[in-house]
Amino acid sequence: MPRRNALKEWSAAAPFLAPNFLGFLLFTLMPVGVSMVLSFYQYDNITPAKFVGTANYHRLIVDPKFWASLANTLIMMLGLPLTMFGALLLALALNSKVYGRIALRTIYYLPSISPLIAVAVVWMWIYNADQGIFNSALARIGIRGPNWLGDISWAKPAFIFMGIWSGIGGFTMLLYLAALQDIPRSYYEAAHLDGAGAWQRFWYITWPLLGPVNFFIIVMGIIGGFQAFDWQYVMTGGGPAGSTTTIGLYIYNNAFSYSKMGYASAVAWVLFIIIFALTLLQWRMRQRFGGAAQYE
Amino acid sequence: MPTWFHQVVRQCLALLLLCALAGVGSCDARNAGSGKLMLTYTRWGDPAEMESTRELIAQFQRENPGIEVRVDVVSWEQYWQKMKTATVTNSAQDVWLMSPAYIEEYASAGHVLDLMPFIKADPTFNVDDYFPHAFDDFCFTGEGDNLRSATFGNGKLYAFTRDYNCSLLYYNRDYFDALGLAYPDATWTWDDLVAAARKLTIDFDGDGVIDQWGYGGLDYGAFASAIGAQRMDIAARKSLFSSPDMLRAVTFCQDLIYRYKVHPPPFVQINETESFVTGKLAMTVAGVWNIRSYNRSDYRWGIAPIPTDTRQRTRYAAGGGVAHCISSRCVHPEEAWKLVKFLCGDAGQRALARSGTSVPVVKRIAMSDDFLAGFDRPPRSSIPTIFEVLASPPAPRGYARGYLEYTRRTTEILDLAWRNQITPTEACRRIDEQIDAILADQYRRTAP
Repeated sequence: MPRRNALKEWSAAAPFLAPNFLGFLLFTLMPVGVSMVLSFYQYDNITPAKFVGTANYHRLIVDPKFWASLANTLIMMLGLPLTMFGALLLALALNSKVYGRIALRTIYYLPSISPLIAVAVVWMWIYNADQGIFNSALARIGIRGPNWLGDISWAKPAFIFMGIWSGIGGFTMLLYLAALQDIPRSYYEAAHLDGAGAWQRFWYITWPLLGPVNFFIIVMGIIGGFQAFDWQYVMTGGGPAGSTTTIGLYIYNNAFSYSKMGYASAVAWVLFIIIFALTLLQWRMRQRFGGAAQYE
Repeated sequence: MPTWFHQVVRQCLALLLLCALAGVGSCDARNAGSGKLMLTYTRWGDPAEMESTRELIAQFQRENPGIEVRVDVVSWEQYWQKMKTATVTNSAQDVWLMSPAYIEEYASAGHVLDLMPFIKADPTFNVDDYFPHAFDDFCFTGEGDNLRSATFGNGKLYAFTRDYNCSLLYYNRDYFDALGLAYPDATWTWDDLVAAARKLTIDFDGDGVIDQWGYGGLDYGAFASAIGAQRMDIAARKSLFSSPDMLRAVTFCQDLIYRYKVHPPPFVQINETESFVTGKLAMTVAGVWNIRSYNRSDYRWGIAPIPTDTRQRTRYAAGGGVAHCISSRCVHPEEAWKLVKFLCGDAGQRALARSGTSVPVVKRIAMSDDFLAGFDRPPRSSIPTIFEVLASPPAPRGYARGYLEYTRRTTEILDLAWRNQITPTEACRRIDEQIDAILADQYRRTAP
């Protein structure tokens, strides 16, 4: 009887689950499987695919463009510590009794909920060499600003700065805020009674207790950083001279612009392995810290 | 039968129905219910072109009541990706717009029809009606991986040319008049260009920032084509960027910035088209299709052939255009040919002429009032310049498989040269290396 009930429940649930499951099957699992297979083929979309064994993976090792885009991706992650620092400052400020903090929280969160492409277009104007607000401000104080997105040495910093701007008040700040609010007030009271100052309270209570969330943010930030694509695609197309081509953009270009489906799949799988390794690390550490699970 | 079973069956049926409904929308009704024969026509274009295309197709449908044409206008950025997907998924369009850069890929894989049988069966076709060499980009002999370019009549024709354009030197006449300089003409050399550009590069308010640049546009390809430089040995699948003439063109472009200082350096953000319209540039190089944009300018301007490096040099022109092709999966090739003939024939050509975006491939219409109507700012007397340029011997081509990839790589490397981070010699060496590798990869299948 319970067996039949389970079946009955399942039969009622199945149609509701089906669309999501079918969608996942059709648009995620199947393409993932196909890309795995394709990574061992040479395929240009027009002529039939040809099996090439692991040639695509061998080629990747000697492809300077692959390493360059990997390096670009890593460099553009350098803003992460600054983002974390800023987010923590904001969280600390919002955690104290600041006037209008609900409104402030909303304002800080805005960049995270604004559509990526709209943000990219606005920043293109901000960075515009002639009429951009940055260079106009710099011109006021007598500095001739660079052509931010068109200059090999400035394009990456421009993206890093944008990343900090958008990351500082969003999810990261919320994570810190939640972690801060989880720290029992009694710790601070006890420390206060023992004569600990504000700095000591932060350094000996708050900071150690933020350990798990810090680690979580770093790993998630790196995983997110490896997937950077949208802004670079819209704002520079990977230029100038390929200096902002991220690994994601490199995969896209190979697959959809140069029609090298097999090679693009191989690069995508290497990216998958990198991200998977990071995720494993995150899981391991979570088990050790225990605490951060609640933030997910 | 237990009730839960009925429930499952009912729910599954509902789901199936949902899927079926979703599927119907995407189903391609080849023969519309009206008993009309259905053709699809795909092209790239902007909203203005979309409008004129729809009008043109409406006219075609009036003249051919038995044929219904579904028009699809896609932006250039998405076009090739879309056509590739359509080809793979067998939903290839019947008639579509083709560029010389991509024809080889599709022709060698057998995805587009040879149009020569249609042309031979058409008594009204006369090759002399068209600009010389207008069809060469789409003519090939051989098959599959042994496809080799040919001239018209010596092979197959995989797409029918629609327009025929070239690059020109555009100059701001008001600026030339203000300094009393002689206008550029067919006798100009690169030295003349530099001499004039130097005088036209002006810092009006003396703040150390140039307000008006003598020349803008690092179109090394246009300068290379003008001197007939060969950028690729297509038969040997080798890049020839380091050949003396190619190197000369690249060096000249770098010199315009750092040696002659008449071209804005890369840290100055300029959009050549807009900058010429607004008078920030006194001269620029661009295709005929930019005439429409330049008509927005408040300045009077003129056109001249691209200068050559020395006066003794024969001037070549990289005339080229886009074409209409018919998918080899098209079920109604006769009707599709009718559409191609219409689009590349009188009606289509006149519409193209009036749009002022392109030189129609039919000489008679290109030189008619329809085309001239597109000109208001440049003096009409300068229009013959376009036809003189188009009559020049054809410059060597640089089209091969992997076009998008090797052109992007070339741009990336030249970007370093334009920033003076590498010498032109080094840039050309790197480009050769990159292009050779890409071509070797693209033609790997060719090896027996």
